[in-house]
Amino acid sequence: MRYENGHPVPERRLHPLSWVFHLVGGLGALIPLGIAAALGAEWDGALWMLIPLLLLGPLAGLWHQWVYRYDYGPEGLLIREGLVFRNLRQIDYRRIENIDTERTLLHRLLGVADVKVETSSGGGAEATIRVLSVDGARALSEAVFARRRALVADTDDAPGSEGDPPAGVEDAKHRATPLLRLPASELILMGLIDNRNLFWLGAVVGSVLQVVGVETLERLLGPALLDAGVVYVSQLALVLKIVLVLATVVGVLLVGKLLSVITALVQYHDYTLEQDGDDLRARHGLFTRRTVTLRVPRIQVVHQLATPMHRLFRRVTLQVDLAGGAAEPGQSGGARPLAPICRPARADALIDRALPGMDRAAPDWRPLSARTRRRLTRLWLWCWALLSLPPAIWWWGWPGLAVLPAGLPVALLHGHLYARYTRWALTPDLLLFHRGWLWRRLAVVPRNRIQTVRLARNPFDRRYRMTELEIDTAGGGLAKRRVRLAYLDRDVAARLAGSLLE
Amino acid sequence: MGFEAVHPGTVAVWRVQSLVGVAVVSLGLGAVFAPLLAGGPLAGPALLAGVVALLVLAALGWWLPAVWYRRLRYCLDERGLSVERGLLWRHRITVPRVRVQHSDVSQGPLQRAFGVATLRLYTAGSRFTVTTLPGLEHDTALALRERLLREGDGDAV
Repeated sequence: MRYENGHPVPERRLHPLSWVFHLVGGLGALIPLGIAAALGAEWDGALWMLIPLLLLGPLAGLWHQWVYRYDYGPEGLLIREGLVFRNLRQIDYRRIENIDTERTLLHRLLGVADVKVETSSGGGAEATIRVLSVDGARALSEAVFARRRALVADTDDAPGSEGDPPAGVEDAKHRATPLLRLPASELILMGLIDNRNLFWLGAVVGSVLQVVGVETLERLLGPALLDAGVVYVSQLALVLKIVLVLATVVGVLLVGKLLSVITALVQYHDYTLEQDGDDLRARHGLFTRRTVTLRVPRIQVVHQLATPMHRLFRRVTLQVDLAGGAAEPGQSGGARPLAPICRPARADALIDRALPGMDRAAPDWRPLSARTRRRLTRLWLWCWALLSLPPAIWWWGWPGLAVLPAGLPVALLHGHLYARYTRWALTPDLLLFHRGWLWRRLAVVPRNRIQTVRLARNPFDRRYRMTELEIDTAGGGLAKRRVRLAYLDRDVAARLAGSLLE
Repeated sequence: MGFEAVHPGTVAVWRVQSLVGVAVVSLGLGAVFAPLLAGGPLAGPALLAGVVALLVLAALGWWLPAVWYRRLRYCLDERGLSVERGLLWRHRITVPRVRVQHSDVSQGPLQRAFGVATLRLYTAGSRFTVTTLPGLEHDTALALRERLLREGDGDAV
């Protein structure tokens, strides 16, 4: 660091191979070249004029590498870009929340990493330093966080809160034992449980089969079915349709599961979660190696999810909502996995790590309103009636009314199980909310993270003398992860809101 | 908890706003449909339907603001500001003092004519980042904000 007229001027440079990673920009210039070549243009034509375009990428990379400087200023991380149009950015140490590294296969071959500096402002990285050597990246992270701790300790002078002694180097030596490690067997399980890409695959396969399926099947299976005595054309078509649907379902399931197993194996290869000072740090990935830092003070809500598949294999998934909700591309709005998959017993220990000092022992679980069961049963019966009655009466006339009682068992069962499994608890530090019986979600909200409390009553709530209580925190925001306690008794909700705001 | 009503002048503001809205929409629709239907066999019934719809909308625009006003209440206590509103979907949102990041008191020309203002409180939350309390008297809004923020120094995240 040197000073010019009293202003700090950054001096540290990028890795000498940084220009390689700007070739990606040059690859874009290859596309017209490829198109021209494909169209049969010849080299002695005007094609050589495209060569400067090709050089653009590496040249821009070399320029960037030559002028880019970063350094540790007294107040924040300094980054200088440009020589003609200069830009000196300062990112205050106290605002830096995350320093993540990302390494694709090429990065790993060359022993370098992209470094992303994130602040609490949300909306992606504040700065991407492309690229540093792995040691350089680690040194940067340690230097920044050591300075951050020193600054925070100075201003807070509350030694307990965040003011660990600024000892980043020692931290690095005592690299803590991993909290969670996922071997390949767990990842295969995770792929089997996960059905994220099933929907798309289903849509694609379904539409393809719609187009080509029926005729092909008729040609393949038609004679055999005819031999088997299915004489009438209408019968034949019906059987074919059933076969088609079954084949589609089985095919989609098989291919979808295979795909998600492969995705899980690639994306979460060698997943390790470690405690690193104040932070939790996850490293994973086979080709692109990711390091994700979860700063514990930023964790707003911990969600635990158990789908029926999870319960079949006795596993759960843990996610956390971070403040600022920095939506990473490929991540869903601010939520980060704490444990993509783990055993329920392990999950409790991980939640304790994510919310340190919050006592979860022996929560006093409280049920929903006693009228929940009746309300849900009626709701489901109404939905069933609206969905099933019109087609039934259309097909069968008045005897079609018989479908109505058919929905009763499911409605009764759902009402009963939902009311039984959905419950909440308030401890001195936390609000716990467990919801659902088939898809079971548990939200753990520290009471000091609650931003606002909203009580809502729609006309149905008023009829059943119920209130819905919704909590807003600085993280999350996606509909799936709203912390919303519906079907509470009116006075219970009012009391709960009162005690949450104390 | 002692909930208070806002300034009645806000009913007039909302009435003017909704009636202007109705007028603009009917003028727009009229401009589109009048040339299409003029002289045709449907012109008479269409005109009648249009006038009836206009009257219904205008009546709603006159009546709804009064109902909204009756259902809009607020309460400032030691914990923070609670705002209750809504006709069919009723809700009460409570913003604790310590969570207020910043606040606005705004007043449009129409609001100024009737002496009302809107108080907005911003939190660091993710779903309900802004809590709006319309229809306060301008001085009340400023005083409310003053009282709210005076004891609100603290960790806002």
